[in-house]
This record gives sequence, C-alpha cells and structure tokens, in this order.
Amino acid sequence: MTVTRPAQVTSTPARPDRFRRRTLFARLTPGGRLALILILALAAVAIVGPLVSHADPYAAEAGRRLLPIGSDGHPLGTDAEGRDMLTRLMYGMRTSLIAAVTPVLLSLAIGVAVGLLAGLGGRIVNAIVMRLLDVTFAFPAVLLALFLATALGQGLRTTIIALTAVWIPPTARIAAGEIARIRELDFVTVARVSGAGPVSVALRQITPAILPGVLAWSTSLVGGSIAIVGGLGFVGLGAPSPQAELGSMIKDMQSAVYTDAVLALLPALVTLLLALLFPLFGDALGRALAGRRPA
Amino acid sequence: MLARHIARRTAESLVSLAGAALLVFVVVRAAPGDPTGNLLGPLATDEQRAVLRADLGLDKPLLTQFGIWIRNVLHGDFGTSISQNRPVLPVLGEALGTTLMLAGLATVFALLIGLVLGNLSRRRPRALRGAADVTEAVLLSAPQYTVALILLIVLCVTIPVFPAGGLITDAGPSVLLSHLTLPAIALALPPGAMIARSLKTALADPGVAELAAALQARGVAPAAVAAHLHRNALPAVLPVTGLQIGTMLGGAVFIETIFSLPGLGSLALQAIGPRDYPLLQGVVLLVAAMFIGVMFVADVIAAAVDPRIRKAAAR
Repeated sequence: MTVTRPAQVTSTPARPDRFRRRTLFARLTPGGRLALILILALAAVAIVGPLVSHADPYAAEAGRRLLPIGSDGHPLGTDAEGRDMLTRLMYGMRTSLIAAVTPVLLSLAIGVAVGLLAGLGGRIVNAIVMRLLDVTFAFPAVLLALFLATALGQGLRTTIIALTAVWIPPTARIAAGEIARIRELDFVTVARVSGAGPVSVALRQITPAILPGVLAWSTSLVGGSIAIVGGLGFVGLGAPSPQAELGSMIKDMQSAVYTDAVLALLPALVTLLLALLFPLFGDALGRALAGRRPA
Repeated sequence: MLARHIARRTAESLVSLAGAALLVFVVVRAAPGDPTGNLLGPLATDEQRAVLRADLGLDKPLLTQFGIWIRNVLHGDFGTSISQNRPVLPVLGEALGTTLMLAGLATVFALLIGLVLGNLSRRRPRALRGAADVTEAVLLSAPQYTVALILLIVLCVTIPVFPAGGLITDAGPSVLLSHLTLPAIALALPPGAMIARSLKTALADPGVAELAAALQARGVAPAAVAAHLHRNALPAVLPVTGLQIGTMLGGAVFIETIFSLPGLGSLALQAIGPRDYPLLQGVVLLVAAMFIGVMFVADVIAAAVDPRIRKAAAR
C-alpha cells in the first residue's frame, strides 16, 4: 500500500515577485535596518565587552565618586560609589538584555502552544483558555509584573519568571488571532483532507504560517520587556546589588540628579535606546516577513 | 438592545473581577514565606505559630479562606496593613485621591496628544506626516521612568520651571497643578501615542474618505466635516482610550516614585519591602476594579454611539 504524503503546499505565487526574492535584510525599511545594526552592535558590546575588558564593575573607590565624563581611565566617568560607568553599563546591558529577552522567548514558545490549543482545540477548550487569559488583562502589565515579582521574591530569576507569566497571555492572544485568520484557508483544508492528523496540521501547516507574525510581535515585545525589567530594577526588585543592571543603576544615580545631571542620565538613556530599538526593528521585520514593501 | 448589551458586559466585568480577585489571592498564598514568621519573629515557638495561624484563619481550607476574604472585601474590610498597623481601606482612600488627580490630568494630556498626532499623521507635506509617525513610535515605546527622569532633569533642575517633586494639596489649584503637570505628561505619553494610533487607523478607513467627500459636496464647512469624521472614529478610539486610562490609574508606580507623589503606586512600593501582603492585595485589587470599571464604561459609550456593536452583541 502506498502512503500518500499530504500535498506539499508552498506559498509560491504564480508570478515570482522580485521583492519577495530579496534577502530579508534588503526587505527591511531603512529605519528597521538601522535598528537591527544598532541592536547587534549594542548586544556585541554587552557580550564581548565584559570578556575583553579587565576593568572591574564592582571596584568602588570613595575618592573617585562621580568623576565627570572623559576622566582619565574612566571615559564615561564613575557612579556614586566610584565604580567605572562604562564597565558597569556593559555589564548592566548584558544583565538587562538577558532578563528581557529570556521571558520573551519563553512566552513565545508557551504562548504559541496555548494559542494552538485554543485555536484548534474546539469551541469549549477555546472558551476556557480565553477566559483564563482574560483574567490577566484586568491588570496593567507593570503592576502585574510588580505584584508577581514581589510575591516570588527579589532576584533576576524571579524577574524572568514574573515577566514570562506577564507576556504569555498577550502572546497567546496574538497567536490565537493569527490562527483564526488562517485556519480555514485552502492549504490547511488540503492538508486535512489529505489525511493529516490534527497534531501534524498544527505543527506542519499552522505553526509555520503564524510564526512570522508572532515573531515580529515578540521582537517588538523585547522593548516593553526592557522597560519593565528596568522598572523592577529601579524599585529594587531586580538583580540584587551590587550586580550591574540598568534599572538599579538608574536608581543608584538618582542621588546625583541635582549635581551631575548628564552622568545621572546615562543608564536611563541606554535603557531608553534599547527600549526604542526593538519595536522599531520588530515593526520593520513584521512588514518584511509579510512581504509588504516599505511604506 | 443597549440594555441587553449593558447587562452582558456587566456580567462579563463581574466575572473578570472575580477572576482577578482569585488570581491575587492565589499568588499571595503561593508566595514563599509564612506570614506568621513576619508577625512573630524568628524566636516564636511552634505552638505560638499554631495559635496565630488559627487566629488568622490560615488553618482552614484554601477555598474557605478565599470565601472569607471575599466576604470581608465586599464589606469594605481589606484587612490590616502590616507595615502601617491600621486598616487597609483608609490607607487606600488617602492614596486614591492623588492617583485620581494624576490620572485625570494625564488623561487630558493623552487625549490632546492623541488628537494632535492622530490628525497630523494624515496631513499633507509628507515630512510632517513622517515626523508625526516617528514621534508616535518613540512616545509609544519610551519607558515612562526614563522620560520622567529626563523631564525632571531638564525642567526642574537645569531650567527650574516646575517643582521637583512632592505634592502640596492645600496651597490652591495653581500650586497643585504645577506639581502634577510634569508627572502627568510623563504618564500620558505612551497612552497618547496609543490613542493617536487608533485614531489614525480609524480615520484612514476607506469609507471615511467617501464620507468626507460626500459632506464636502454638500457644502459642509471643513471644521464640521472634521467633527463628523471624529464622531465616526469614536467607536474605535473609545475602547483604546478606556484601556489606556486604566493603565494610567494603575501603572504610575515608577512616575509616582520619581516625583515623590503619595499615590497608589507609591503605596504598592511601600508594601513590597516589608512584604505587607494585605496592603499590596488591596492596591492590586483596587486597581484591577478601576481598570475593569473604566473599560466597562468606555465599552458602553462605544456601544451607545455605534449601533453595529450593539447588534453584534445581541446576536
């Protein structure tokens, strides 16, 4: 007996579109390209910087407190405890990026799984899952993250767990929305009629089709994640002191706001930059993946 | 029709509220650490702990405890704040005033930003449109505490136009306003951008262009045409606005800290250090209730101005 594979369905249009054949990078808007390059550059600094730099982010010197930008041996000055600002910013970016990206990746995996369950599991399962998710939408994200992080206790690990819990419902909702859009399309029906089981359809047809949209959403979400990680650090719930983290560095520099304004703003500006770059890249990525030309 | 829609949304809101209460209760109970440890200190004997646990009702089944807690909350009894050693309800009441003033002023700013940006992004020179879109994207994603810090440093320290923080409520409205303006602006930026985005989308609807052309052809004045178009956009913009007002009511934690305002956000932070769970529970539950309430009101108004929503709900 011959086993017929489900019909191979590709999305090749009748007439190949030259725009679609260009590399993903070439399809990004100029702003999206710039954002991607800056993100990669900052991530490289955050990863490579601490490896090659011999400076100690924890070496505090009382005599060197709040040195201005451009001081000898401290190109970006020192913080309120005399620690080198550039070194701490590199370590801080690394901590913040890890704490912001990990929950987004986890919630991407879990959210898509929940979305598949809701979108393909039948009407009753869908209703139950959606009602459960709705509960978390009764709180502003910041307050929910704060509440969960408090209940779980201080630390980077709890920040990551709390943020994952906060990001799963919106990600699942986006995934469920995408699934509802493509569930009845011809290529899914073809696969189903050809004898593919529900799990096979979910993994082979549905997931690849919704992934571009969800991926773009998750990329943008890293920006919001950076903002909340910084906020939790700012109120003392993130990485424990003296570990460098952008939010806690903003808090540490608050005492210097009136005397050394520019120096006090540095960690806030880095946080602001990171939080802006990811949504900029995410939007461009979404357009490029959907095959839309830059507007 | 509208009555049925309101009844349905009321039921949904109550279910959301009950779910939120359950979530708050479960999270606090699942938190590591025994509340008797905080109250009695490390030297207490197991017997003393057992007595206190029975006293607090912690030895009863979880579901019974939840029932008791909900009944108390419905009677206005949110428990006793551990750090302030007095009932939670009056503590919440004092902070609520500040938060309502701040969120109210921020709502005004957010609506202004939304109206201006949402309209600019349809205007002709292309550069202006681009500038409006970039501004919207930046406002949307900029963490509020970084913006608050920049505003604080530029407008309170470098050029001291505004007072740097705190709240003076008994020196007349102008002093009060000067203390609330900067934090309200910082709080209003992302919500303003969200409102602008929804307004832009609603105005870009192809049907809107036809409506505008038809009105112009009838000789309606440009200002009146604009009014018609905005009225038409209301059902799409209102739910977004409601959601954003809810966010501003509960999400001002960092801004209240930076500007030393004694609102609900500051209260939540005060509760974090000493693990004052009754107080934290009260703040989170109150915010969730306001959040759900604001969205309910926005939704009902949207249904009142848009018959399509009512009909969809009745089906």
